[in-house]
Amino acid sequence: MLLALILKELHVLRRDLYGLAAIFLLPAAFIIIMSLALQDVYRPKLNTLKWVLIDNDRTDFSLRLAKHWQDFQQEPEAKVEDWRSQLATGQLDYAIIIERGTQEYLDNLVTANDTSGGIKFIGEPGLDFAVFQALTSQLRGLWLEHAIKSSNLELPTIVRQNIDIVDDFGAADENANDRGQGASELMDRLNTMVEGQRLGGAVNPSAVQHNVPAWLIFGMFFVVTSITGLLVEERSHGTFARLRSLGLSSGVILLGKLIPFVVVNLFQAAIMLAIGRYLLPLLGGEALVIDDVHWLALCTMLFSISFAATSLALWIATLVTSQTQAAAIGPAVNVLLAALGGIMVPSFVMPDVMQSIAGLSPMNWALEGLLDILIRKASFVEVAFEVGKLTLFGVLCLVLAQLALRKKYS
Amino acid sequence: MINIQGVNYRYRNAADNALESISLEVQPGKILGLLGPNGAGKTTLISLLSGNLKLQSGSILVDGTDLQNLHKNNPAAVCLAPQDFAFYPSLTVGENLTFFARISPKGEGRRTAEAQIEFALDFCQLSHVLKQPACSLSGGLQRRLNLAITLLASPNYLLLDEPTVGVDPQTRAFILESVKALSQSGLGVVYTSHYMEEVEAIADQLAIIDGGKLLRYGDKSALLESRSSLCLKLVNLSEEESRAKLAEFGNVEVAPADDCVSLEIDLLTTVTVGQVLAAVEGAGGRICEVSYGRPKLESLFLGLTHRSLRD
Repeated sequence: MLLALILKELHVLRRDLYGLAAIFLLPAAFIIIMSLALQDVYRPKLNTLKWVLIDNDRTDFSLRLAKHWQDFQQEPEAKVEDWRSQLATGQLDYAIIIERGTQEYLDNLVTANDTSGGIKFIGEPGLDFAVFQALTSQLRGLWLEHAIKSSNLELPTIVRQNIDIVDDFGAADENANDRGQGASELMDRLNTMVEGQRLGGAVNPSAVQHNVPAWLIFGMFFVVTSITGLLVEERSHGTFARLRSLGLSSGVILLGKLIPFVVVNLFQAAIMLAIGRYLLPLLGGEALVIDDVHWLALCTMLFSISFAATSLALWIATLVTSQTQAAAIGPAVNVLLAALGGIMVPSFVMPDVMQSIAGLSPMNWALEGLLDILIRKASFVEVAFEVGKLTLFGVLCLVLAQLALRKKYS
Repeated sequence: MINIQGVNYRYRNAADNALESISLEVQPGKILGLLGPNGAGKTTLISLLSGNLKLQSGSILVDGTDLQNLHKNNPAAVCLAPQDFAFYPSLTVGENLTFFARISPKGEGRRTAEAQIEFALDFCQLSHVLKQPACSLSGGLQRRLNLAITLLASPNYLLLDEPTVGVDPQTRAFILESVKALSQSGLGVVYTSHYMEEVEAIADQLAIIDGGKLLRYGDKSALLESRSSLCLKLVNLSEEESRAKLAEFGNVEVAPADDCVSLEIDLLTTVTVGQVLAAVEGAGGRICEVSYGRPKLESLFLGLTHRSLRD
């Protein structure tokens, strides 16, 4: 009897292609996507970031330093005129500025007290904090190496001074402290010559600033599951046929679902943003910073995300034929789009190929747009491209849904 | 009147037509019983009439207006009560009625939405469950709600697709009486069902289709009362022998019975009972039981569509 039950279940499963796809293909796709996406997560490729060099010193020192930096990184971008706006929009990841007078400062390192010259590392507002820290430290190390080589003080001298302090520890060498203090001050001065900052003095984005938008988008796209189930129920119960027999076109029926779900979706977004802004700090977390965003940009972006998510849901709903399929395919599509789109894994840690693929996911457009608004304080015009892509995607899904229904009922 | 002329329909990728040269009429104040085995084409025809499928060839005129135009201008003229419970289970009876009343198109002389809801509630006797979620209703009440929703649009023609499936005898009787009352008030009704006794009881006209073709169409009385059916129970003859010897007298339906063969012969108009009985005796058969009279609809149906099981 048990064998019969088992065999029956296997037969049923064999004939449910969508069910099989949900069991085999989707997890397989998920494993492939996540493995590829995460393959560089423990060795982030800092050398793939886009950067510019602004060499205001134009000396042998600055040329050597820049050349050495390029040994670790990719070639700097040639177009430097509008580097600030490129940084502001995230087209560039960082800029390195070697200030005028840097070599002169090094030449007179011991005697000079002025602080002309120096090196600035300027990251784009949304640059990951760990990446920002790693690059700043790397640049500081390189600077120290070159500075010490170029200055009149040789590295061994500085080290020797420190060793002397250790040797003389406890001994009555009155000069030891002075020498040690001098070396320490020298190192401090050299260290402070490299300054890391974000464009416009933006604060480092916290995990909340990254996570809330990502999971907000993921949550908004979960509308796929509810809409798919509802439309399948309407079609299988004959309610859809009844609505059509009352003269309602498929387009009107789809619109009747689209509008309320977009509104519900927007409420959902508002609640999630409020949680990030008000609840997380109460629970000991950092607050989502939304006070100084461009509200028109944020509202338009949320609306276009909602429109895209709901339209996608309607399209999928016209394709599936049963509740089982709806229950399996809706969440699976959502998770796959999230995995591809940089929701589960930030796209900057993905390999180049995966980053290109990530750019195809509407969730990625949504995430880029929201991060632009929340972190880079982008205006409506600056996120118009993402808004446009999401809106077009939504329109395309609606057209496909309409065509699918027309095909079914023609 | 709904005038259906030369309608053909073929589904995408199908080898054969689902409907082939169907021509019939649905008259106001009359009930057309649409009969056919599973897969005969009934649902296709209903879907065409309700606007859920597009007409491919032939014509359908409703009171002189082309059906396509009618669905654009006055879709309430022809309304469908699907076989399934086509409403929202999580909404209450009242919420369902309100919703469908609001989206129902406004035909000529239509009452207000509130008046329509009141009429539908009274007609289907649902007032006492107005605030109950539809999913909590019994099967019979859900059938009544299904019918009530169809009435909200004040249609001129009703398409009822197996409206009594899965209900108790009381609800069935109620629905049949309601359909009759609606017909008497002037509505034209297309009534599909697999329950022959129901159709026989309420239909004014019959249309029997099979394999997409119209096998019989006309007034019920003309189809049934003009024919004679001879039922015999025989011994000493096998089923094959009986069929072979009696086929010349009309359509023969043979059913196995205990220790004998049971036959029903839809007699040709030129044949007398005496000729059949003589033929049986001549073949060596012995008659155990004999009855003669107007055939039942089921006999006519099986005679036309045969007993073989359908896909």
